[in-house]
Amino acid sequence: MSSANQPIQPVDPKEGEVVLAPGEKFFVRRLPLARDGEVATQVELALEGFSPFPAGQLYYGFCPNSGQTQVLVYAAYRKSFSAEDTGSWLAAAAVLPDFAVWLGASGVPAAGISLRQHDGRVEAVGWDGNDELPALIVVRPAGTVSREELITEVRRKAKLTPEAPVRELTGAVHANCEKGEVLARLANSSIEARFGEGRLKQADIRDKLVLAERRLTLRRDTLLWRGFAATLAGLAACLLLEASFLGLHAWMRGQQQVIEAQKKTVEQINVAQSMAKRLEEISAQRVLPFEMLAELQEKRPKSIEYLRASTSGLWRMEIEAQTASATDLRDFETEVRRLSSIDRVEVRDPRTRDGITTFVMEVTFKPSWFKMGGVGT
Amino acid sequence: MKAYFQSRSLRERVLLFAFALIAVGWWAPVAIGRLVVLRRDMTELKLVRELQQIALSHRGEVEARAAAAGRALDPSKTLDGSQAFAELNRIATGLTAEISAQRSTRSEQFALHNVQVSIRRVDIKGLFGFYEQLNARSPYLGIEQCAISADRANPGLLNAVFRIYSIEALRGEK
Repeated sequence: MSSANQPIQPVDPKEGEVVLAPGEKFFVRRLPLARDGEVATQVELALEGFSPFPAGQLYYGFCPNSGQTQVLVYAAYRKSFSAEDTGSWLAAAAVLPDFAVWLGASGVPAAGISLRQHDGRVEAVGWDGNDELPALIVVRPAGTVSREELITEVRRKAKLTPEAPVRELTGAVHANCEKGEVLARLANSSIEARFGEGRLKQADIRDKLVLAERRLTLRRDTLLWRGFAATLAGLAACLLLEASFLGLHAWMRGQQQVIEAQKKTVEQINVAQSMAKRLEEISAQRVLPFEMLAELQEKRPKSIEYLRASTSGLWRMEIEAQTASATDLRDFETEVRRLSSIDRVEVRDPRTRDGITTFVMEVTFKPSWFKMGGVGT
Repeated sequence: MKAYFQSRSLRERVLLFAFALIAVGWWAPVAIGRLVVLRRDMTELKLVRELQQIALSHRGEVEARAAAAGRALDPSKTLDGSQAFAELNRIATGLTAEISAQRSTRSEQFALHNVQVSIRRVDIKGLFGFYEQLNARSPYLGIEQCAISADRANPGLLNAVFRIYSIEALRGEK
């Protein structure tokens, strides 16, 4: 197979790469667009009219101008591409004719002809000075037609004057994906065309149904990859965590050693602290159970009998008692509460059985009550 | 990695994804659990360290305080465990008493010995006599805690349990 019959570049396309199909396989028309009507539908109808083949047997694409008043339609007979060629298209990001580089003019170019010779082909682009899109694109294998014949043909078909200048170029066209766009660029010149997502859907020559299917496949693959990448990131995070555990455990062991080394000293300090506190307490005050009982004795009704009395700390006494008169309990509690030496009184668990009421009275004396003039002074 | 993954067949990619998902699902909760435990341990360790630092930074102050508290005591009047035991036996002479030594707490300068005295079936006069003799030895010998109860068999008599401390000056002995 000759190089002219193969996609120009890249030869073995991978996902994200752009295939440029040889322009000589396409026939190109610029058509006016109706204002109301979908561009794709108008293009399909137009193709039915001027194409020698049914639309189903064509690879075609189109590119409307910015005002949506004109559209450049290009189509190629499917059988002019080998299965090998089209097989490689499936994974490509885009398949465009190589003359798509001329579809990116930002303004209306002056009338004239751009003539590009490269890789055994001659490409003539006719500009009529009325639209940003070329009026005509003709691509011929080199040697099948002379330069002058081609220029004459373009002048005639594009209705250009003989004075219309001819600009000659020789560079190759390169295309690639950049930031979500397809960029086609002519080497050794400033000529380039950008195709965003919407424009690319129209310009891509592949079967539109196949393209939709491919987009779904791509989306599925992207999701699968992102999911896999996320789980890999999770695994990496776990690994990092494990590594940090090792470091932290080493740090903790160091801290533990410091703690163990200081433990005995700290215990001695704590014992000295509690001992100092205890000695201060002992020097200032001692537990006075009999004085406490004597303080309460004056207020005790005769019916109340103590069963048990115990101290808890320096200032608290708990008395278990019984009485045959429940009202005496209330009076006793009231009287004890009135004592200036008492901080708090609480009667707990009162029970009456066979006319005998038992209860627990917890009495908290005020600190230093004994010095305040308690019984034992 | 992406190129390698994308070059696999769909079945291989799904399997790779599933295996990676299972690995993360198993590993992540374990790692997070360990992280929580480690964080708790670190917090505890930090707290212990801070408490130690506080104790160490107050060491001089504590020693000065203990020394000041000790200055109020006459070392010759302090009692070690055996002396306290003997003294309590003397005080409890004539009473139905059971005396048992318990634990001791020691600092560099002092020791506190605890002795439990259980007195059974004593009248109020006998118990008060014991109490007064004990108070006479204060603060070198004193009551830590006490419980007095009426004897069930004979309500006119009392049972008492005293937890008594004795102070020993360790440096004084030296």
